[in-house]
Amino acid sequence: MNKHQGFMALVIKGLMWIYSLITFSILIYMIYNSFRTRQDILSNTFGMPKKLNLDNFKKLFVNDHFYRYFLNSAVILVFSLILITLLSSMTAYGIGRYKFKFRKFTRIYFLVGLMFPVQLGIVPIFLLMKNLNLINNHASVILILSAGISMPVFMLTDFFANLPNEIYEAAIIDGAGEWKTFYKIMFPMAKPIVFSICIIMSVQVWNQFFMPLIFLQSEAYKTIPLIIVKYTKNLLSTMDLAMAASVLSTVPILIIFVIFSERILEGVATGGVKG
Amino acid sequence: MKKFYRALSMVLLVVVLSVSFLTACGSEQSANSTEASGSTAEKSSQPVTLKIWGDTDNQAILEASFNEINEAFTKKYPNIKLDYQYSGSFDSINVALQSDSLPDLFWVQGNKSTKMAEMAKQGFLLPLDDYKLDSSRFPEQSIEYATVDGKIYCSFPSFFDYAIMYYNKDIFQKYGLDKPKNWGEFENIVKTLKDKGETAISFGGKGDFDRYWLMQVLAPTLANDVLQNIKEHKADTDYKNLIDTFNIYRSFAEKGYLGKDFAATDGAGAQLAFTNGKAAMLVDGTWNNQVFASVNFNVGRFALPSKDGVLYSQSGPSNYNTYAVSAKTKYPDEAVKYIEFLNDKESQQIFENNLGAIPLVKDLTPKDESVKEMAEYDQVGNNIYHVLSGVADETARPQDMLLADILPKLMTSKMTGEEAAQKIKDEIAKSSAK
Amino acid sequence: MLSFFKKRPYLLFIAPGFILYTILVIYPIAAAAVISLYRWNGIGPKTFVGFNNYIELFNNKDMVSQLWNALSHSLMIFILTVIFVIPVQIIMAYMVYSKVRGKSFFQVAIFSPQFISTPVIIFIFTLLLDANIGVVNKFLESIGQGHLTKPWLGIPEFGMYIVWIMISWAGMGVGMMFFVGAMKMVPVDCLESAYLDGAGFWKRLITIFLPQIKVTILNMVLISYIFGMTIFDFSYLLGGTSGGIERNVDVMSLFFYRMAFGDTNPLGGNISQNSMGMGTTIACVLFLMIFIIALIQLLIVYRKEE
Repeated sequence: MNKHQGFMALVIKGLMWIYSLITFSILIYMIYNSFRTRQDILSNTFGMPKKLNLDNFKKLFVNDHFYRYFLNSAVILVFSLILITLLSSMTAYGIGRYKFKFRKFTRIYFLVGLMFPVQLGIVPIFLLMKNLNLINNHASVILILSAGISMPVFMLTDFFANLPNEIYEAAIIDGAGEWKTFYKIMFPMAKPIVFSICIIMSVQVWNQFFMPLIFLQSEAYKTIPLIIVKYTKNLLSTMDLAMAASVLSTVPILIIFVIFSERILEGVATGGVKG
Repeated sequence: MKKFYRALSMVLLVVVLSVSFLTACGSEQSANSTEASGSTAEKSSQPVTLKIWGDTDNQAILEASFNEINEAFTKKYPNIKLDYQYSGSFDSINVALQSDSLPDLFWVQGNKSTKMAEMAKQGFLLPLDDYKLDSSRFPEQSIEYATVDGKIYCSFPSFFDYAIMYYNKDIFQKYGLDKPKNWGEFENIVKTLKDKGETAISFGGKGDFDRYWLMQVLAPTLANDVLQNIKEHKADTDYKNLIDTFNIYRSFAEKGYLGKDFAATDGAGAQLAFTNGKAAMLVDGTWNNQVFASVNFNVGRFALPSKDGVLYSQSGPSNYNTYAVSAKTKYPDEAVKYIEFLNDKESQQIFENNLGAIPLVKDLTPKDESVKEMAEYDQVGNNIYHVLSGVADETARPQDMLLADILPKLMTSKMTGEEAAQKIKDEIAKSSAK
Repeated sequence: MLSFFKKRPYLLFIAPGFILYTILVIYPIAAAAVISLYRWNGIGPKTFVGFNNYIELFNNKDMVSQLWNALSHSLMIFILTVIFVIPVQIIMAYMVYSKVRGKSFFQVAIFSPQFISTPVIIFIFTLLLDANIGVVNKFLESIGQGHLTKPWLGIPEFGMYIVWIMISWAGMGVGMMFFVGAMKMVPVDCLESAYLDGAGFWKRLITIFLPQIKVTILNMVLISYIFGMTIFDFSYLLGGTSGGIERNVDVMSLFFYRMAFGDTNPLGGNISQNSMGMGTTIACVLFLMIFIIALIQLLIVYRKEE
């Protein structure tokens, strides 16, 4: 099954290696810069560094309590991801598998969220959260981000629609309820695409800047993107810390990525009816 | 089916529980700030917490200073607690305005922009006149900065920043050059450097503001009278000096004084070229002074001299410590104490020690030699951007035209100085505020 | 009541997402759309003006030209992405799916720009391509090709292409991961028959996978369109609020931002009297442009299915 033949495949592979190495080296370059002192980066931007040290990282952890931002980002990520996955899968399943009036309308309805700039609608949301006393609380950000299911719903709907009907019918006949069928049988069959969505939404949630900016008003609650912006705003004077913060921000997402991306590929593709 | 409902309710329960759990965490924080809703007239014993929003964009620069200042303040007023956060971004303040949730104090740009005036007129800010703030230490322009319709609305700016020429002393020495005493000497400097194959002025031609700084230093040096006339709404001003200034800007680009491919260089590239020792001079703000402390050559600074040897800076009060009080604050007296503290020598000296900024008040001790060097100007010239904004209105915006249209075209030789001045003139004529 | 829901299980699946989404997404949009009927600067009082803002927008020659300019750039991103980026993503996804050697490295490397925040990406690109100190030019000089050095980032005509390259480079991994997931969803029995027929590596891609993931591809096309109309970061960071020299990197979303929030800068400046009113108007126009296209695509695609 995995025999790659032909000259074309070889050429493509070669190109992919080159592209990947170049892209990856940019990541490496950023990591390398995060170990340099400010003076070194400014005066000796392209030369060999005089020395490398962990000062930038020390500063971030000790002075800025980086772990706090880290924890905040992590909390928001975990809860948002769970909610997004759950809500978007359920919604996509509902739209995809059942035929009902207004089905097309519902698809468009959920897509609308992508079409409007978020900064304009912020005040009504803010007032809502203010009334719920959730300002300066992770819950506000989590709820808002979890409502951003437009893209996942859009992408997942067709996949749920295309899952084999026979399996669904078999489960119903066997006496499983709608929910059980969804949860135990249909949803697991969509694992590859759901994992892909998880990766993409993770990155989006992790790098979210605007919502935390507006709703997390105390230092104790802020998330990583805010601290990165703190250092990239006046980039020249804080370049060293900007690099270090970016590197630290990358690590957890990288881990999530590696975990999920492997799972997408493992296992057999959705099987047909095998008796 | 029952199982379906069970599962669904479990999902909702989880959501609700999580939300309540997180709310509980958060409400401890918010409870602290809303509990002390006692009467405002009570003094002393009732501990008060002031919520203050600092400048988010400049957090990295201001942190050290404000940490010290806030500590000193709390020592002086032990019953006033400060909840100082760097949450005052343009967006957050806008949202706070529109949702009626402004903090007790927040930073403002004074009359550098029309926003504070608008906020004051709409009743969002607390007028401070009743508190009889001591303004004796401050120059006229600081008081002007804080006044709207005759009333004072923010703390007075005690520093100012302007665009200055940083230069590489080693390169200058190599060619026997020194700080110019008049315009003629400056022209000689750039020409000499160019002839010797050096980049005279590192220039970021790509960014709106990056290419503007050169104009900001040239304008008052060569055409301060024109700017003054525009500012004073004098019709029929003779634009000759401004035309010359525009032409000089263009000629600098044409003659290669700005380095190779300046049009493609952005601000960071220009700065890095200078810090790497590849250019002799750089036009940058005094607000960036601390960056150049980290380079490995000798850096000097000079204000640009006019033809008769007058060194000009440009006006530009710093908004680092200008804060306003929300009209709806529950603790106006305490909030104003913070304003008074910002107006005081003590907090300003803390700023000076950390930032090395140029003081507008006379009694501060400069941080180091470089501050003294930056303060070596003879006259505060007009800031061309502010002058043009001052005569703009809704439809006529000469300052935007300068930035987005005129400067790039001058830079690429697509416009002459005469055409540029004419465009500005026409634009101002359209304005109702001319 | 129970039987009502029993007959319509989809309602209960959709309900939770629907409720949250309506409250936090639809309601704010509706509220903002209402503002477009007012004249408002965000601070002072609102004045009702009906559809005046829209009329003003389309009668103002300067604004219309800015709109067309920005629109052309947004569409350019869209078209270039569909023609060049999506096929590349599909091919790369296929390689990863087929578990070529190095697939793990490919995935991480190609996706890695997503981990880096945009200002840092732009800064690194600047370092590479800068005219004076950039690595690329230095390299050309060192191998004696000094005359080839160019101010890569500065040539006005190239501006939009550079933006597009950066966007594509950053987003390459996203599409790729989607397609990998989509390919993994293709039922095994479709594949088995192809192997029995002896179809080659590429033949399998073209005859089996592409038709199976056709809907995914079309969805990605729509997403690319929406994306082109709403992408903001790169143009803003490269060209500032004004959208670059002669607005050469201006895109729809930046045009909107400039109208609604453009008056804030470190030097001060004047706030526009109708920033919120006009800003929301442009956002609504932008919204309609996206909505209509999306509607058309969905109707066509669905018609094919049923």
